[in-house]
Amino acid sequence: MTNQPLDRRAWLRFAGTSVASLALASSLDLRAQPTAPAPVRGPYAGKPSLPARLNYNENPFGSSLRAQLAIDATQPLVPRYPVAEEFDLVGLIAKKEGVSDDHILMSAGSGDILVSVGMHVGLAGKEVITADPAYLDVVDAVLNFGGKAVKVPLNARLEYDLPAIEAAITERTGVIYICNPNNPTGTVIPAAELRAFCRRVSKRVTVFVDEAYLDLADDYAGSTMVGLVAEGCDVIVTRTFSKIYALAGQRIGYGLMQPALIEKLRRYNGGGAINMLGVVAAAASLRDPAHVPTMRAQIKAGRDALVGVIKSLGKEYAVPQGNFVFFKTGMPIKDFGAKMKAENVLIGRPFPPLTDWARISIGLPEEMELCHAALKKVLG
Amino acid sequence: MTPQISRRDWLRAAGLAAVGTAFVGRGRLGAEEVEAPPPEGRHVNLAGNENAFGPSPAVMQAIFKAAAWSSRYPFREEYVLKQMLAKREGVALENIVLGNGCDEILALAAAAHLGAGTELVAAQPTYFQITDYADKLGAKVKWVPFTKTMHHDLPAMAAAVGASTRLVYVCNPDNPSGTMRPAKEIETFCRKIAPRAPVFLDEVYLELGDDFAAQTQVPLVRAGLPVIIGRSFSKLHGLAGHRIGYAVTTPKLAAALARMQMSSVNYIGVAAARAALLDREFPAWSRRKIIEGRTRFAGLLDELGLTYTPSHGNFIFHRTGMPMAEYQAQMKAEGFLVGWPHAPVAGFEDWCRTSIGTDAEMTAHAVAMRAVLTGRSKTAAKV
Repeated sequence: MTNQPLDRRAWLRFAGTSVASLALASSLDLRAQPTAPAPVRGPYAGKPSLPARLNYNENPFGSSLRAQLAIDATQPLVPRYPVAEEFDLVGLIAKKEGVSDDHILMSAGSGDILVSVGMHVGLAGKEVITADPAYLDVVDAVLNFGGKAVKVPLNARLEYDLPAIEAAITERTGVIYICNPNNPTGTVIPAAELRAFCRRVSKRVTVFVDEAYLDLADDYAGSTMVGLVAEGCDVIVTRTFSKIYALAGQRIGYGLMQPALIEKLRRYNGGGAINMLGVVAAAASLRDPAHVPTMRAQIKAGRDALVGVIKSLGKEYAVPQGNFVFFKTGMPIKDFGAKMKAENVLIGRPFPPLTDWARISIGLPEEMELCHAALKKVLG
Repeated sequence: MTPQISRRDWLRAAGLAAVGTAFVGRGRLGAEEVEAPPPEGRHVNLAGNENAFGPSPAVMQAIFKAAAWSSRYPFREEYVLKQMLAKREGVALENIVLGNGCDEILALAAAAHLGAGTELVAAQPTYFQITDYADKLGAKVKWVPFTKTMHHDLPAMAAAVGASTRLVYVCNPDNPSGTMRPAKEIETFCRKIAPRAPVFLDEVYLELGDDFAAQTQVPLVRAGLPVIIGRSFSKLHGLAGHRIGYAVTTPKLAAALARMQMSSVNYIGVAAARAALLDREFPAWSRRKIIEGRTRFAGLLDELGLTYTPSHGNFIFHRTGMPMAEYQAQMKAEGFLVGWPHAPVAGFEDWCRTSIGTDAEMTAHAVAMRAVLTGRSKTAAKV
């Protein structure tokens, strides 16, 4: 291992290698009774994992029952490329987001768009400005393709320092990447501040707002920047079905941006073809009006409970708005990770430079009980 | 240069046509109009080189089980699949790269090796994913025309490799022609060329042949030659909708591909691919059905007096005697989508690629084709 910060894929590859030896253990079904009433999720309800898999920001509560029924019903179409199905999904997204379909770029998770943007900027020899620590897909792609990265430290609240980012813009800047809520910190930028920033700055350079976790925040409607795309600003908003819709395995995401930029990015995103069952599951999820509010409440309950434990242990934390909490353990993350693993709880990877902080994802109530007990034991 | 579009764009356009006028110009539609899902099955799709026979019941079961885990990223499962593939191909884990279909592998290879000032050598016409991508990256595509029999002209391709060549693309069996060069010729070509520029050998259709083991060039990878072999679960295994493909290549080239990785494969697709590899009956059955369908279709083309190339894929490239757009429109009126995702290439304006469907689909297709070619089609009747 090197001391280089690992991107998620590299980290997961590494982790996967060791996790593979736990193959049997990790697929063990605890068969525990849920402690809180859950909506009907049909035969594919989320199952607790052991060790509790709180390391990937997945949503184990499970997808909408409608999504699961759509997956079943669409099995005969598996040998086909999704065409009409993708049209249907794009139409639903256009309606939800209030933009026309030429503002929508589909993607296998949002990763494909993150990398496409990175390629676009890198190949032009330009720079990405982002925070540190933040999600690194765009940064890695920019660097891979010959560009540069400018990392601006987070402010005292572990939020993006927008004035400092704005001050860092030069003629070499190709894109500003903002993950909101941020990964790994989980913090949200005050909406009015971010909106004003985007309006002003997007006149000079493309602003990329990654809203993968925003559906889980307390004020989604007031915080999303999609309205700026509809207004015609040079702003990219990406979303994924991996988080609130619990379809991480299905790899479906999308970007909202100006049509001219989509044409440019299409040149690069040839790789991220999307799959049939993912497409129909995503469309069915959007047709389920109950899913988002129910899921948001469930994740928030788990988040609040975890924050309660962290507070009781007297630990500092960033105000969480995603399906994870980032807090200061005061212990090197490698040691802390190993101790939690010994208690059957898998936690997030290191996020340098904050190497004595840890990110824990919100899992099922059974998994969180295990986690709370482990935290009290390891940090208490 | 003929304008080219990506398969996704083309499928999108074809799909747009397939779902009917309700969806044309959808950008201007009101919200209520997109509420209803588009009608299914209005046309028989013989334009996508999909496997109409798949996937197998065992794979369907695996899909059903895996659906319970769709909220998880498939990192561990990917690892297990890669292990299975490495074993099957007789290589190590670091020789395998997974992608969203072979299309992603092609895109990664282009991204890893091509850029402004570099060249890709490819046959014309061949599968366009990598040539298209080369264009996008600002690389030059050195096109080498087919031989008269519509085979890859390997000596001419070797001669086209120059100082700026960074990648050579050989699709074997080829798409759209379906023609194939025997193992010995491909091997000789690779041994000569690969040390100068990596050769991308697209073998996605090779598994449809009876002598796959003798034809595949994976031994060259084992020997350490800089060759990238592309494979897919879309063809033999009938998993096109799942987008699972992979590369077998040297560890060094594999690392170069992985570095460009844009996205990851999906959980259910990975589970389906694993089940497909364990299925002992379906691949052989699927192969036999495709060959039977292809043979019957070739018989029809013989009977109709239409020239075609000897195909080793799940499709046949054949003349129609009329401009492609017109033939496609008339076949569509008869209920069939046919053709290939490429703007007409000079000299092939009246050639169509038709995929092999189920027996019933091909029987109905034969009736439609006769009607169109004898001027008795529905469209012709209206004129």
